[in-house]
Amino acid sequence: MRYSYIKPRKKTPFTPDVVLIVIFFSITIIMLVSTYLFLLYKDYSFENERENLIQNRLALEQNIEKMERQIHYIQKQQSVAQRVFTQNMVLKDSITNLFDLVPQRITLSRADLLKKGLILYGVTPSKDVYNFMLQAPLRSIFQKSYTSFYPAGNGWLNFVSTNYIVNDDSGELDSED
Amino acid sequence: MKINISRHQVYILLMTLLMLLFVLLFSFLLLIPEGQDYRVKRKESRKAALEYNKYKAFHDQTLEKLKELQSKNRNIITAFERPFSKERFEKQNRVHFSSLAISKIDRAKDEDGFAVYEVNTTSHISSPVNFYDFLDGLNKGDWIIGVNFPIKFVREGEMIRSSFTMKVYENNADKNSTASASSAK
Amino acid sequence: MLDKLFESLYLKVFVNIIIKESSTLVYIEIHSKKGVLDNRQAEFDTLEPNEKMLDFIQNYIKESPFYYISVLDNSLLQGALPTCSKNRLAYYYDLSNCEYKCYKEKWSYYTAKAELYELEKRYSEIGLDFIFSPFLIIANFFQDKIKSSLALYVLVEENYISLAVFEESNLLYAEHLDIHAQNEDDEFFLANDENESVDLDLQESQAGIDLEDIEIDEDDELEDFADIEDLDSIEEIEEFEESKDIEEELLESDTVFDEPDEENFNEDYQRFIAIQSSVARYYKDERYESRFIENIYIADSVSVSSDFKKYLEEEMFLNVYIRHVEIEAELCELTKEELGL
Repeated sequence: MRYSYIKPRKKTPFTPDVVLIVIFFSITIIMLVSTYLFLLYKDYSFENERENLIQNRLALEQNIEKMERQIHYIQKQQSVAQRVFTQNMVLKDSITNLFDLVPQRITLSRADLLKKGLILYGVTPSKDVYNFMLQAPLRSIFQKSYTSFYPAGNGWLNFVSTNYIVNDDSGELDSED
Repeated sequence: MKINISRHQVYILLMTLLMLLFVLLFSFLLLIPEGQDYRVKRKESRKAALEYNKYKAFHDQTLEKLKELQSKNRNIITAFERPFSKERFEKQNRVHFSSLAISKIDRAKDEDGFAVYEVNTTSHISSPVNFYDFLDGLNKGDWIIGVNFPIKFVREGEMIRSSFTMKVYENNADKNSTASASSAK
Repeated sequence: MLDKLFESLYLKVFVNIIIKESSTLVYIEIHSKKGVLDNRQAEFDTLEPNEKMLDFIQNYIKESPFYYISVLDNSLLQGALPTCSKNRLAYYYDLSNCEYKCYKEKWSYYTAKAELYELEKRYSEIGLDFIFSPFLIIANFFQDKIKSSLALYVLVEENYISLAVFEESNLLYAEHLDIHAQNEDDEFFLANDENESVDLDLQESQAGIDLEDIEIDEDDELEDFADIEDLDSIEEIEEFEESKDIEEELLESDTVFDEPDEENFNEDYQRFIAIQSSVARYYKDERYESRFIENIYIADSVSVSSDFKKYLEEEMFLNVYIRHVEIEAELCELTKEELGL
């Protein structure tokens, strides 16, 4: 101070009441603004979240589709394999049945197993034996059955037995076609 | 009656009104719409989460199913995968036969989406039982093979010459291979 | 910068407090950026701030946060010294308990710290921003004259006299006196002159005798003659003879004196005595540079009588120039200058 003995007090327009008002409003405004910013941030994050979830869901969808295709395929494999195996077993049973069918006294020289038929070449002691022991059971299985005989050497007969199944349904035996 | 208000008080009043105005405008024009937006977005997000969870559950379920199938049918899957090898087949099944030879391998028409190879085989067996064993073994073998008609048995001395056609089922190269690739885990 | 902005938005309120003998004068000026907007003043019958005064001040203070309260230092223990350097100051006066300030690096003015505290305490309810010395008032009021001539400059307040001898802006001597405390001064003076201390009663009786003489001789010539005779008898007792003459002259002039005038008269007389004794001290004191004073400039705030001028002219042979001063306005000017307005 140039002239006065004492220094003047600090003069400020910010009297205690003004300061109070300013602080009050500042706090209020700060709270409002921070709430607003928080909401903005949350909106952005929700949006992101939703996007992500949708993306993930789509990925999952794709995965599910893929897996279902795989499952379907495996099931197909399963069914085909099963069919094949069953076929093989049925075949086995058929052959077993066939060879069981053939009596002791008749000897087969050749057997052609066809899809819908069976051709047997063999030797039989006599026609009767053949008719009785082989033809009868064959007849029961096959609808069409022909036999032709031609004599063999030692009094036995060679026979050629041609048997076919006539059925509208193709049966379990699935071969060519 | 004239009321004297000091300039200072006028300033304070103005400032207070201004701040109040700002607070009100801010609240109504910015804050509240944002709040509504927040609610909407949250709902949507929750909805999306719900959807996702549903899908996830189903996905996990399907995965379980797939894994189960894969583990249960591992043999079949690998068998479909395995390319047919004449040498291996002969080597493996020789045990049932006195002799075994593959004469021809032809690619046939696809069945059910699978590649089919027709394999002509001739063999010698001493008794039909061998054939039965062979058939049993076939089902447990390295490939999916079905024996088809015609099957010819011809007696040749002590042996029976048997010739038959096999159908070997394999995965088709294109999309099936990708499916099987994942199943090979 | 922010502060400057705020300052420009508000008015400034200057509250100037002059403490008189038995009352306090409060002078308020309200300023806008352009200049004076309004001024008010009020006098309160109290030496300490009372409720009325505080209310009056508060009423104007609340107009703006930029208010400045200045008070004129009314301490008895204050004065001014011709130097600014600390070492030299001690030569004149012990300033260990004083607050002093340097004026334009030429001279200093001081006051007792205790008095400052007392003032601040007394006005603590509204607070003080500035306390100014009356010597500042003198320096400001007579600044044009101080620069050029050698003279005695006096500020006359109701109960105080502040006087300072300036020569070309240099202070040679200064004193601050209470006019009611003159007996001591008289004693000092008389002792120095080896004169007997004479009671005032004696003065009056002698004056009475003279009056009688005068009444007898009513011719102008004779009156002059009477004056001359009296002058002859002055040699022994200077002071009182002179005062006798003044009283004679006063009676000769046909003005009738009322009681208040007598009081005034008394006060003016005491003022005169104060000035006279102070000047004598100045001449005597070897510490101060002596100059022969011919002119006296008086800043008069109480409307001194013409006799006061006459006393000075005739008894001290001074050229007397009296200027009326509104101390409260001057205080306000000081405040404004302090703030740079």
